[in-house]
Amino acid sequence: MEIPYIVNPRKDTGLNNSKIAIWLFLASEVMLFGGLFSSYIFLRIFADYPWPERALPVLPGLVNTFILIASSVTVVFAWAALKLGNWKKFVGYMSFTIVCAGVFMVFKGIEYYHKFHHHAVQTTEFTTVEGHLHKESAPDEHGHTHGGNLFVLQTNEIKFALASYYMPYLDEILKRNGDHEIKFKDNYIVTRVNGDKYQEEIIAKAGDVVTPEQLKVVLAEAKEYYISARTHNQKVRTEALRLAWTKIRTAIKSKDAGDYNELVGLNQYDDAMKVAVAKLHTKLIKENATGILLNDADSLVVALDGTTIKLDPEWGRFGQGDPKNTKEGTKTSLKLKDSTVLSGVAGDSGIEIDVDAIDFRHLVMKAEERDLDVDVEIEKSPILHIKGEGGDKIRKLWATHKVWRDLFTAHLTEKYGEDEEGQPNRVPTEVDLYRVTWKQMVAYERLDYKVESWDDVENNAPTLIEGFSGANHKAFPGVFPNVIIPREQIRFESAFSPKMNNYYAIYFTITGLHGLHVIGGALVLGYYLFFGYGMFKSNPEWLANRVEVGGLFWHFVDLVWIFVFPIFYLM
Amino acid sequence: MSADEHHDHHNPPFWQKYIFSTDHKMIGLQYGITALLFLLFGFFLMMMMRWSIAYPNEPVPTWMSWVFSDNWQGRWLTDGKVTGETYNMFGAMHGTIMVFLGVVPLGFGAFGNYVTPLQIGAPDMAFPKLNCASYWLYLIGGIMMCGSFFLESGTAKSGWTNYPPLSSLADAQHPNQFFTGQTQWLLGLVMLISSSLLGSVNFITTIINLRAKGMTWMRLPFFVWAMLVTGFLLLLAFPPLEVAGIMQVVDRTFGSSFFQPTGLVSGEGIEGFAGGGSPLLFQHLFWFLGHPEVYVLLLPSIACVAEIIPANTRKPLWGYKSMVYAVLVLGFLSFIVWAHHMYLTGMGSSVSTFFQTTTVLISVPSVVLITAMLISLWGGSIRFTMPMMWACAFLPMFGIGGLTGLPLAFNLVDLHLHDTYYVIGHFHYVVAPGILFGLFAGIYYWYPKMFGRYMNRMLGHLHFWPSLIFINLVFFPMLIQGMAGFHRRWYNGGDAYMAPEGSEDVFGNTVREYIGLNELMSVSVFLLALAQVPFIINLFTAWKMGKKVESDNPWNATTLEWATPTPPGHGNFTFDVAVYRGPYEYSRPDCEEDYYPQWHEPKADTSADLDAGIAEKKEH
Repeated sequence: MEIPYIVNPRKDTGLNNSKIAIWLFLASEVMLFGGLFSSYIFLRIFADYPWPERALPVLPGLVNTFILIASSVTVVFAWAALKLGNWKKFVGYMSFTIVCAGVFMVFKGIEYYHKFHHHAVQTTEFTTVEGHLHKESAPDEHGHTHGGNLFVLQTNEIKFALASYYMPYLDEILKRNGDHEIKFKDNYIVTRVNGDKYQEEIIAKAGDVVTPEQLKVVLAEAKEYYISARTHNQKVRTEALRLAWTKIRTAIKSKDAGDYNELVGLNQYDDAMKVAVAKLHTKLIKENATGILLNDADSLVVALDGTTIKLDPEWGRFGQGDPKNTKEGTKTSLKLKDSTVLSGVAGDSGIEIDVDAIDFRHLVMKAEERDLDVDVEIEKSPILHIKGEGGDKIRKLWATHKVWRDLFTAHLTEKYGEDEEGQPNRVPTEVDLYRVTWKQMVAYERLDYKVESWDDVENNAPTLIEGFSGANHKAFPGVFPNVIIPREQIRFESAFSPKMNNYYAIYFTITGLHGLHVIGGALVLGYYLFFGYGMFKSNPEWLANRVEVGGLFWHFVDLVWIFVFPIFYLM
Repeated sequence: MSADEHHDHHNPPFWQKYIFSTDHKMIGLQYGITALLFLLFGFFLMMMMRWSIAYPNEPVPTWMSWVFSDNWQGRWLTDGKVTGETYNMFGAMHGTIMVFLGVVPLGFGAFGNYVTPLQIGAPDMAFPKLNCASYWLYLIGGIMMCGSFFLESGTAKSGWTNYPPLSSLADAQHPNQFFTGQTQWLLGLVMLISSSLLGSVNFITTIINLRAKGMTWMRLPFFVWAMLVTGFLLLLAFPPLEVAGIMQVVDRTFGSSFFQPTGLVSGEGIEGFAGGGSPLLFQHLFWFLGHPEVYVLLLPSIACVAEIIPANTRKPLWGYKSMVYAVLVLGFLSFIVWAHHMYLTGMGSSVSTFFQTTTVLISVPSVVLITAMLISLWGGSIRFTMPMMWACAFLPMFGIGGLTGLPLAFNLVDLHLHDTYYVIGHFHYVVAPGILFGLFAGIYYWYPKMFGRYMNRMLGHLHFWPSLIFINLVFFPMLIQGMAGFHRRWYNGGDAYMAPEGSEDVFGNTVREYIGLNELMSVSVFLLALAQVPFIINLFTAWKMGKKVESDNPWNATTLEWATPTPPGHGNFTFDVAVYRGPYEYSRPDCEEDYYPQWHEPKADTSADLDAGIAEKKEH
């Protein structure tokens, strides 16, 4: 059996099968990316926070644009070479195309890497600072440990949820606890069933001190027991309930229902019926000969001696929503995702960050919503009241920025004039007004915080190459202020990952999917390159068809990028 | 690849013939069997739900709950009763299984795969390997979804529509997000979408390029037209849902807020998301697929019925051309009606008005289709074979389903009916007694071609009549309850809302008045399940013991699938296929027999020579 029109086109449609298929596939892809771009528009229009405009470094995107365009051209040359029967030329052009794909992905990777290692911290007053987090560091002279992004808890008690405790969390907690003492707080009793005898055994005795290994063993045993006890108890209760319904149904059907006379004529949903069933149910459970209810306590509690335990905020939702709970010295309990609850006193969990951008736009937006004086609100921001060297620098930066923005505003008015009502034709953007970028920081430092003309900043800013992938901490050491922001002042904290906000979320989703398409396309084209020679010898026309189809896909991938670049990098 | 081409497939090994088969017929059967099993499972979930609705205070009886292990029951049932959370799991999975894993694969995957290439005279699908991949992606997606029942988190529990923020927060408390039911559901869905993408590309290419000689567009059986439109719907409507699925996976695993509004508060306090997203966006993306999906469900079923009616009335399909144009218009319009599912979201009255208008418009082509088939019965000498019984039941049942949809199209009326049992009654009338009956008709109709034996007539009647009666007893009361205001997601069937006798609570009294219908519907469901037993027996016994077919064309039908050997071998046709006339040439006065198959060469001495086909043949 042979499928027709694999190589040669059908006469009346003028197409071979794969040509139809690839156009259909691309139509589907248009709907896919169409959906994504529509989502972008939707999210941007309905954003209730300042949308990050022109937030990405342009150069990598621009270079990538040209790389993809070049590869789209060479893939056509490769196809043409095949049509002319020139294998060597095909290999050359196709190799170039695939190398382009590789370089594209490398640039993409560099961009992603810098995003993931760049953080933003937003205070409860909606000021945002961006920068690099300090990794977890040794305690300072006051015994405080700052840095990284960890919750510090002087832990007195941990309550493990038996059904769901999660090994990686447990291991990490025990590691943090080190050699400190772990004591069982309550008894955990298991009931062993031996024939028709029930034997109670205490597997965790209140007051007993255990090693981490012993704790793990006891937890595993208790978990196994708890699950079987739960199953057993449910079975007993189910049987009893079933029996209760049967008894009452039978009773009220008979002429003399005895105890249940008042239920005759009621339906199963009536309260009186439910009460009667519940009563009988309880009675039957006690009387039921098939089994008694076993202890099925679902948690095991241990006491710690106030050890400092550091918790990754990803482990739970603590602190978010009500940051005051995490203020140093407050008694608090933190629930991890696996339902383990740690109780104790919150330690110093401040975030130490090298600030490379200060952004008041969200604060301004909120202030304007409430009709407040924007400048007054900015001055109230806790970021401008941090003590110490880093805080001084931030204040100096902001003061310098205010000088620059006034110069810049005046410059715009001068250059573009005013309309009939005396309003300037051009005003600075919100970004110009309320955001100090890392490039400005470098320029202000170079100018020694004295700006005299609006273009001073432009002339002293880092070059495109220096800022190839965003804030460059290596090239400009000492420029970026180092501050510690106490946890109770933090509303939201994130790397520049999808979590940050929907701009980055949709950026990563679209470019990520596009990246997958690039990889997929390169794999297919690579297959033709490395494994196509046999087919070139036996059926060159077929190979040419395949390359044509792959090339069409490649053009589509390029086309998507042509939309991605302006939307994310320029707008 | 090229080595395969020279290899002869006369006796492929077992795994190649039955497991990773590339033959469209085997893939069709694989799809069919898998889909029927999923349908059975989805039906079972619904039985447990119906138990909980009718007897919310009683444990699920053991004849239903034995499917789940004791451990599972200990975790998910309370005193043996279905809890709200468990009910939500069943509800979400019932919908998902029925729509994505049951009806679509049965209609499009099974019948489409088996019949389409035969009807256009093709040796196979255009891309047999893609076809195979399509089936396996479907199966993997289905297993991912259903397997999550046994995860710590349980399976998806936010409805088959998976609306955020509910679905974003469901299972969010688990440390390993990947192994939660809600995430597995999304990933499974992405698998299913990829599967249907491969399938639809394959179908459309096959129909465009692999038609036999003489098979012009207007000689295509209506079945093929319906498959073509279905293919386009799948191709273009599914990607936006894939977008929504991917975005929700990103929300769940990377903590983004695509669908999380600012300041969302849950039982755990204020959520720690960045916020700024929109639940409405998900609904738009979902229903952009969701509505065309309804026609993806429907068209294969209508297509089966449209084949069965002419063969059993012995007269041409009435208004074949209008049906073709209607199905094309239907396909187009189905892309611009999606927001009628969202009247109550506050998207704005002008948007609602637009979608209300298009929704009313789309009823026109639907009515054209159903009317044409109804008129096809007129004056025919109807043979009440098993497939014809189901096809005849399809017409009024689908009619009820369609007509009960009209009130929902108007946003003013929808204010009252939205999310009530009326909606459930309406779309189940479309899908269950409508679409499923059509597909049953298809099974009885093509079974002789697939296995060379008829299905048993007695068992067929035992299947048909109880099914017809009980399915109406299940769904008709829903329309009544819905108008009384019963909400579609009550896991206890309204128990919690019922007022005691003599109460002044108006709604409580209404609930009291209509809650009794729950028992009627639930008992009907259990009897309906019983009515499927003859079918299952029939399906298996007829395979070995059924009455053998007398010829390759047992129904004396006209379309090309009956020109193949029974069952058709690899490559389908044993002769060079050429088509000489339209698909429904029944009872032509100038022919001796009452049917004139598409592949019969015209005889020189009948006026049938004047057929356009012969003119075309002379040209060649």
